[in-house]
Amino acid sequence: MAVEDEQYGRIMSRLRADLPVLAEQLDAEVRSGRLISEESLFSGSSYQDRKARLAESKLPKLAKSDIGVLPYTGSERLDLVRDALLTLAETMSSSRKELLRFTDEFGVSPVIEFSDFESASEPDRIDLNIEAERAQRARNTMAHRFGSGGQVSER
Amino acid sequence: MSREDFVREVEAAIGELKASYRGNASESDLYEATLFVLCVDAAKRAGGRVLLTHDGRNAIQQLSFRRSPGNLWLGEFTYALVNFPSTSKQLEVHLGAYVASGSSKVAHECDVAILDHEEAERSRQGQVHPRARGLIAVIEAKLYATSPSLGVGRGFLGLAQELGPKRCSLVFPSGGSDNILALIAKRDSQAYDRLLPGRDSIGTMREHLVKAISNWKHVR
Repeated sequence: MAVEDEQYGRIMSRLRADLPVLAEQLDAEVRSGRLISEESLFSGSSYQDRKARLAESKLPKLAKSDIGVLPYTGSERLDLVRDALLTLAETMSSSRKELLRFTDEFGVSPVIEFSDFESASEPDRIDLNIEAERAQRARNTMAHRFGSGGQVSER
Repeated sequence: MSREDFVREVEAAIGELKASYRGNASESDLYEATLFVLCVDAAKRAGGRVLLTHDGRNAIQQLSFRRSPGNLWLGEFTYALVNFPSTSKQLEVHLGAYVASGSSKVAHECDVAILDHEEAERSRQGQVHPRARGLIAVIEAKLYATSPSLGVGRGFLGLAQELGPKRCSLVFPSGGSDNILALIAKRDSQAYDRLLPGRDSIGTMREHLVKAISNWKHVR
């Protein structure tokens, strides 16, 4: 477990520095834990243990309305990181590509602007031709690195 | 792949993504703009003819969107004005607009709003926020690469309560947790996870919007 924590910690340090919002989202997800499915709640040794403790304490039995949560394992946390990076890469690429398609459909400039009326700062100008290609390359590289949900081994 | 190899791959991947990442605010802007595109597409499929404009008359040469929700009567920002051959009704699609709740009299931020044109025009001329009664559909977008938290779901339900639950949809590009999806499942509002161009969920949501627009067209 210590090695897994160290590896996860290393990744999260890097994420906090380079992609802080993504790091926050991952932190929040890991903190909240993984919901136990209804099927899992009522099966296996964990269920027997819970059942026994409740019976011994003369407390109400587990019911379908109960919600159980388990902490993410080391492997699961790494899977979360992988999935989040893949999702971000896909979002970046598909957003730019779709907007480029739209500008082409309506015959408008592929450079789009975002600004606030109340703000004196320069608009944020995005050249979709350049950005779509760049984001697609990043997405392809990501997909190549991690495959389609390839599993991380236990070692 | 061993864990150590995986960690190295992740570190390399973070560096590559960072090179094209514009920051969360800009990436959110881009994601929300694709939802504007989705709404325009739905309006076309509902039989509409689209004019992308700043002033309701002339076609624009460049898309210029609000970074944050704003007042319809301020600034020259792109919106879609849509008319339909079968009715005199028109609608507008806006990226980033405030809409006033009829019950609380509070103006709420709408990431993407489909509005009745008459309501939008009233807002511009009267310099008041459009009212929720003129809303056809509203999208709350959350750029999350993991599932949004339950708090996001609770906040969305509050917004839906204010603006009309059937009009409201929560969307995000990641897979939704059982928690947030269960929270919204039994309500009149919708939640669409894994919502990205090219994914099946886009088609499902587009059909929902087409239906909403078609229903609005037929209301007398």
